[in-house]
Amino acid sequence: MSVSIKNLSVRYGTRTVVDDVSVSFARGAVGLLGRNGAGKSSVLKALLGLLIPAHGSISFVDLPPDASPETVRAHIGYMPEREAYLPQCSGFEMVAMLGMLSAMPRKDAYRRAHEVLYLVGLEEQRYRSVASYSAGMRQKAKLAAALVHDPQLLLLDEPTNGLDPDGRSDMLALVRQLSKDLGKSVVFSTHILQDVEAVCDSAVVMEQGRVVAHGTLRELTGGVAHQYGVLVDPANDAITQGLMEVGRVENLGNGRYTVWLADKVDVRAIFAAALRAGSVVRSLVQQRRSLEAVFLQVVGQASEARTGPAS
Amino acid sequence: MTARPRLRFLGTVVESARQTTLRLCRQRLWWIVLGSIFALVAVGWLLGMRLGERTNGQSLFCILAWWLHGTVLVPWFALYVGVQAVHGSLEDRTALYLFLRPVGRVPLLLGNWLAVSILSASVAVLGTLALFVGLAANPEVWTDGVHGHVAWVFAGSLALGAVAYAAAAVFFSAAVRRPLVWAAFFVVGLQQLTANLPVSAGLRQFTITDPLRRLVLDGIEPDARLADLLWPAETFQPEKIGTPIVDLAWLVGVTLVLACWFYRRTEYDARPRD
Repeated sequence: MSVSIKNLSVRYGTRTVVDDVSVSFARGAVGLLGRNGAGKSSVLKALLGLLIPAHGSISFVDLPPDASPETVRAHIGYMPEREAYLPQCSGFEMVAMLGMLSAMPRKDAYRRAHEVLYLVGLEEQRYRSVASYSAGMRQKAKLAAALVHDPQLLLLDEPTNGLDPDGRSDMLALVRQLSKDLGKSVVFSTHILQDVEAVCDSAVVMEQGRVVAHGTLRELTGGVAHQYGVLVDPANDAITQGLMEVGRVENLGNGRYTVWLADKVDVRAIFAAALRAGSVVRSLVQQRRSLEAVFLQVVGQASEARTGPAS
Repeated sequence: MTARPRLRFLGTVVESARQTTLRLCRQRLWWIVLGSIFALVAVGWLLGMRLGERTNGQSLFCILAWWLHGTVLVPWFALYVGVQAVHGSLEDRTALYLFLRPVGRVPLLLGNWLAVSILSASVAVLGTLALFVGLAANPEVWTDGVHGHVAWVFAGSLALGAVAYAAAAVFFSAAVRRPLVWAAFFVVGLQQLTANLPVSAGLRQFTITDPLRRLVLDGIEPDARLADLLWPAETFQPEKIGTPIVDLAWLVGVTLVLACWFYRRTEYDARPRD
C-alpha cells in the first residue's frame, strides 16, 4: 500500500509542527528520519486519523479518497513510540483483545494472536503478564499488536528505542522480514540512521516540520559527488599528476587515492590517466557518503535557512 | 483491495464493554468489595442484635441502606471504577491502543460506561441485599415482619444511581485532568450545596442523590419519622422537583454526550513540547 501526502500541515494550538509537507511513501520500507520534535510522529498520527490536519490531504492508493479514519485504520498497523500495554493482561490476551476490536471473530483473533506472537518471537512468553515483560519483549508485543489485523501498511514509531544491541538486531531483522518476505509496506520512523540503512530502501528526512530530503538510499548517499576510491600499482608522481587532471585528489599513500571527478568527466578518465602514467588500476570503488553525513548536511542546511548562518 | 469488516457501533459498544469488564474484574479492588459485602452482612446482623427492640428493623435497614450504602459506598465505588476504566487508560496510554483500532471513540467510551454501570449496579444490588440479609437474621427486630419489597426498592434505586454515577465518572475522566477531585466536588460539594438551597432554585435535577431519594421514598412509603430521617421535611417538596427517573435520564444523557464530545476531540497522547 502506498501513501501520498499533499501540503499537509498539523498544528497543536498555534504551534505548527508539520508545515506544508508533500511526500509519498512507496511500497517497501521507507525510513522517516528526523531529530526529536521534527514532526515525524505527528505525520504518522495524521496518517492514522488521530490528528486532524490543519491543511492538506492524505490519500491511500488502494483506498477510496473519502475513506473514514476507521476504514484507514483497518488497513494500517501502528506501533507507538511510547510504552503502552493493556494492564492485567498476558501478551496473548492483549493481542487477541485488540484483534477482536478489529472485527475479528474470537476464534480468528485467538489464532491470529498466536501467529503474530510466534512471528515476533514471543511464543514462549505469550501467557505471561505484559507488565512483567522486559523492554525488548514489550516492543515485540507492541509490534504483534500492530500486526494482529494483518495490515498492509505498518507505521513503526521508534521501534528500536530502549533496546539492547541484541534486541535491536532482532527488531531490525523482524522489520526486514515483514518488508521483504511478507510484503508489508513499512514506514520506519526513527532518529537512528543506522537502523534505516539496515532495513529501508528509501528515506524521508524531516526537520522542523518540513521535508528537507527524500529519495532512495542510493540517491541520497551517492547523488552529490562522483567520489571514487582508487588503488594503483605502481604508485608514482606521474599517476598522481594524471589523476589531478581529472578531478580533485587526495593521496592516501601506498597507491591509494580518493578522487572526486570534475563535472562531466567520465570514470574512464581514471583508467586513461593510469595508462598514461604506466600504472595499473587494481581497484576502483565508487564511494558513497554515509546516511549520517547526508542527514547532518540537509538538516544543517535546513536549520541555517530558517535561522540564518551561525556567526 | 478487499474491504475489511469493521465492528458496527453497537458491536463496538458491546466488545468494549466486555473487554473493560474483563480488565476491571482483574483488579485487586474486588477483594475489598467482597470483604465489604461480608462486612455489610455483619454490620446488619450486629446492629440488629445490639439495638434489639429500641428500633424497627425496617427503619434501621432504610437508614443504613440510604446513608451508608446509598450516599457513601455506591457513589464512591462507581466513581472510582469509572475513573479507573476511562482516565486510567488515558494515564497509562492504554487508550492509544484502543484508538488505533478501526473503531470510533464514542462507542469505545460508551462501552466503558456500560461496563462500569453493570459492575457498579451489581455491587449496589449485592451490598443492599447483604445489609438486608444481615438485618433479617434478627427477625424479632422487624415489628411488622420482614418485607423483602423494601430491599428490592433500595436495590433497584441504588442500581440506577450507580448507572448515573458511572456516567458522571466517565464525564469527569474524559473532560478533566483530576477526575477524582472533581468527582469529590460533585458528590460532596455540589450535592451538599444543592441540598441547602431552596427547591425553587431548580438545581435539584442536576444531582443524583435527590432523584434517588425521591425514588426510594416513592417506593417504600415511609412513616413520617422515617421520611424525616431520610429527607428532612422542609426540603421535601417533590411536586416542585419533577419525575426522578426523567431527571436521572437527563443527567445521564447530558453527561454522556459531553463525555463523548471531550473524548472524541482530545489528542490525549500529545507530547510535552518545550
